[in-house]
Amino acid sequence: MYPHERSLVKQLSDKPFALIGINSDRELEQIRATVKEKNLNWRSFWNGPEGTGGPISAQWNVTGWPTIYILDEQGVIRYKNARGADMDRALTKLLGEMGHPVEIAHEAEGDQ
Amino acid sequence: MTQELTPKIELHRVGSPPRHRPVSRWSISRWQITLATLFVICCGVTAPSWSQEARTWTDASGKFSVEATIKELKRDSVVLVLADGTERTVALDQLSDADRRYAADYRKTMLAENAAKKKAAAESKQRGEDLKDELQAILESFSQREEQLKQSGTDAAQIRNARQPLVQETSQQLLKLVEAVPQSEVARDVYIWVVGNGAQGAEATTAIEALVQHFADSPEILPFIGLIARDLAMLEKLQSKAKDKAVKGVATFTLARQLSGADNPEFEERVVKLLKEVISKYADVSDSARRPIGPQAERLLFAVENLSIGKVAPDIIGSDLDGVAFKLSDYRGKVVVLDFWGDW
Repeated sequence: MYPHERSLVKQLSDKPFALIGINSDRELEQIRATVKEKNLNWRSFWNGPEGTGGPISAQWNVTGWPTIYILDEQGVIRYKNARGADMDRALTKLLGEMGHPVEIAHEAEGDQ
Repeated sequence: MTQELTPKIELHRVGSPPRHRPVSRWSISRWQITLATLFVICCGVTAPSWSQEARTWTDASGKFSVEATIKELKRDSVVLVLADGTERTVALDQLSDADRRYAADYRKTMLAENAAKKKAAAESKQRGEDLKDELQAILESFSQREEQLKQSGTDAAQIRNARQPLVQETSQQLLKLVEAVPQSEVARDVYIWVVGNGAQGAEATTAIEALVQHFADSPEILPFIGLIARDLAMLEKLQSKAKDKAVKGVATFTLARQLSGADNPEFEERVVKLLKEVISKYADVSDSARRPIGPQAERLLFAVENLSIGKVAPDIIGSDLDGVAFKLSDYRGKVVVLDFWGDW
């Protein structure tokens, strides 16, 4: 997961695109360390000390992790749980609709 | 009164001459029991229990009486067993009014008792009780063979693989056993066994269909609604048939969840209707994990109305991992991947 997300954020840094996380780890200090250590390059809401039982995932009725929503520039939900190549295709389409043709390709990178 | 009406004379003699040797109380009752038993075996009908008491029979003139037990009531006559064990057949029109009324009562009770017996036998058959021994034998054979598998198997996956054909075979036997009594309790136990033991293919389909067809109102099927839900048509059938509150509630919620899972805008109106029904009528019903379905339905309703494809995403107002406040709507104008994640 991490390499794909890191790669997307890097590749689309000059496009109208953002990857926003909702992190459900209980220990804030610990996840901060992980972000630094694994060079996670996206911003996340923190779901609070209740972890997966936190308020954001509850409101969004999230029962499995990871759960992915893809929103267009109007904030409209356009895709759910599109991962990997499906996510790449979805982003290519949505950015294309906005007049930003992109070609997404990922370099091989060991997961960590 | 009996004692006063002497001399005791047989009303009508049939068969062997009367013996005057006194018969003890014990031997009389034994005789009566034996006769009653024979009667049941030969004729398949039992006399009413109150008729086992010896009583005094009196003729129409009131002059003659005899202590005897009724053995059989024919159309125009009655067969009596005297204290010494001999039998006498007496025409009904020779008897006193009281005796004829007794005979009429006897006939009525006997008919009613026989009808009740027949009904009980039919119900017992309906319940499949006559199949319980066979069911037990099949299940015992399964357990033995399963145990052998466990002993001989080397790892869990291998045992599981070897167990599956055994489950299928046993399911076939069980389903065949109850084929004629699909609505019986034994059949219900069979269907639950088949589904609960993970049978697949035709056996699973047969069992699930039968559960929905005949036991839509049995709370026993609650744990299997999730399995039934694999077949949307079956789940819809169960949901429409069920009258038991728990079954109806869980089936309604499960149906809403399955339909919402398809994320098809065409289903939305129906899903919303189903969820509102759950919230208003079945909120306190618990699912198989003992969680009340009302709050779950409310969350799902919010999700369907706000988190479906094509809806504007609800805003998220919170703080990032450094404690800096921000909102999802800050990113309007950009394509956003919203990723619920955790490092575990």
